Amino acid sequence: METNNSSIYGKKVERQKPNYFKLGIKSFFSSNTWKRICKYKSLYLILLPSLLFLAIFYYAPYFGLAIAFQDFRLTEGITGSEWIGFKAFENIFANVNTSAYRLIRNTIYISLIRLAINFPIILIYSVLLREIGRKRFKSTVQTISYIPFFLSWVAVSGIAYNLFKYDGGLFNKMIIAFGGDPVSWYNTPGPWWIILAFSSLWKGLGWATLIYISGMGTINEELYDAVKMDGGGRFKQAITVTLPSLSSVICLQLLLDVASILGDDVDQIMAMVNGSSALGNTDVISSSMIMSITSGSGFAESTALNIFRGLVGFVLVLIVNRVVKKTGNNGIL
Amino acid sequence: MIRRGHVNKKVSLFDIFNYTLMIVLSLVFLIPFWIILVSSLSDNSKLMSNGIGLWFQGFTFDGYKYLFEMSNLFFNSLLNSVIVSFASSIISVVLCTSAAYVLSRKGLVGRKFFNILFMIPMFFGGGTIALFLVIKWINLYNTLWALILPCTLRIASILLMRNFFYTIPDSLSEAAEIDGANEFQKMVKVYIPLAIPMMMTIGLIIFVDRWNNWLDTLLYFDSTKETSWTIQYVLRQILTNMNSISGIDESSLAPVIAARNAAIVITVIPLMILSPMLHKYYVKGMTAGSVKQ
Repeated sequence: METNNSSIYGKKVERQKPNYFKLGIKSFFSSNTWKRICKYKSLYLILLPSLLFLAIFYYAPYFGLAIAFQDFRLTEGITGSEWIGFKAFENIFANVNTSAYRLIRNTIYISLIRLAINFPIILIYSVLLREIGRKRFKSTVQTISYIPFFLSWVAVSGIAYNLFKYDGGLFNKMIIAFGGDPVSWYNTPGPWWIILAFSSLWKGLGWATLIYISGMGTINEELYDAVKMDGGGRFKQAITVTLPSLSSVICLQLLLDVASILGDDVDQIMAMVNGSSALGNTDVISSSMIMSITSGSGFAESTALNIFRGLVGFVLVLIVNRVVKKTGNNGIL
Repeated sequence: MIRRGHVNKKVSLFDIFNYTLMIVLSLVFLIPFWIILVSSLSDNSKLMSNGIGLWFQGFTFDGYKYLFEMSNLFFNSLLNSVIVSFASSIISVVLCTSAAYVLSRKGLVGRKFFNILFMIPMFFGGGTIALFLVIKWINLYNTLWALILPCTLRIASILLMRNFFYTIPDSLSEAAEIDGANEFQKMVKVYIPLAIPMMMTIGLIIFVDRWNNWLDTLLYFDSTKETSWTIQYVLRQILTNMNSISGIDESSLAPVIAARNAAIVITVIPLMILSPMLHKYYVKGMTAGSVKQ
């Protein structure tokens, strides 16, 4: 937000915006606006490359949304493919048993389970981390927790493979040692929602706690002293001081996570699952788009789903933004 | 009197629990790396019969040797990744900083319009398929530029830089103007030197993003263009489909398991070592927006 109002540029002045159509086009060229445009014309030049990239890589793809309404063939392109109107949307939503519902279900479940597992753990870990007194220990622990964040999901999936593989994977070895039967992890759809949640936790914990830790840094020490005077132990301190002080941050994080419930981390899913799509539980909306490129079919449905996802996501963001503002915080928009 | 920062000498039960928990957690973070390292330096036949373990099984560099000998692909792709990451980084910093500078200039006519223009794609995108078509259309398909260019204009980076430029007082700009500088000179001589730490941040974000990305290689190259593959994609091929690279299948005598883990080790080490430094810059980017003026 601009705070410096001493500038002579762009100061908000109450004035009537002149209607140039009434006054004639010529008057525009002697107006203040035109003078400012001329004065700052080099700025437009500086902006030009970015505008070019914006147009090519962000706005041109909007035309691709037409695919959702076409019987799209790669060879024909957008101009050559036949228009089918809303048929793709009908196909997706009319019949409850279609694969589209499975994609939506998977997307939502994966997000929800990740939220349910990761959110509390991140919060609790942040609060516990604050209680660590020894500075060297604390910063070492934190540094270690940041390392997985910078890995690619391919690398993480390779690490996971050593744990989950059927023959000689570490987990199966431990299961056998305890007398159980080895599990064919990559062929069992069931545990994967949880596996995805925990792997994103492993990778993201250090990073996610930063928000809470910086929030906790602003808490007044005297509040803790007051609770200690009253004989409160660590637990009581956490409940009565730390959590309430963080409440706005917690609220914001929670709402942001809810707003992105139809989002997915395709990178993670496709890398971890390693292409064993026998797992019907892990196909999501974005992966269907990638699949249609690699397989050459199904463009209309996956694009239609993506449009659906974008619209719902946008509405969610608007709602969440409104809620966040109502609770007194700055909104996202 | 309680001194600030005074640690109570009596160690409570909670402390024991907490410190132990942190140690366990740190092990959880570190042990996977250790397992990979150990396996990469182990004898493959022992790995196949005993499975993955926590300690070396016959110390040998065979896995790494096999990786070198197998094909040029692995190291070629390292080179590709370095090129793509650096190029993307530099182009992105230039683009985003210049765009952010312009968007932050209060005198600009149409500033609100341009700001909204840049913000819209943050919320609603055309989709992977649409971008794929655009890349084909402008003939970037099957070239390294398809990996470098599309992500360079990162809107979150522009926002970051723009908000940073907001915090610079206008008096600096006015002083430069009195000295006869035009907008371009102002940007280069006054604003950019101040913005260098932030530029490092956005450059590093893109660098890491490009280094770790494999989906782009999957989408924008067909299977014949092996020489342009990037490291993460090759790693994925090594992990899932070793056939396609070396024509050798897993049950042969080749030290496949060790080689796979060796590939992971090599891919992971650069960013692992850099992670404390990277982390510092990422945090700066994250907290910059919340500095209250």
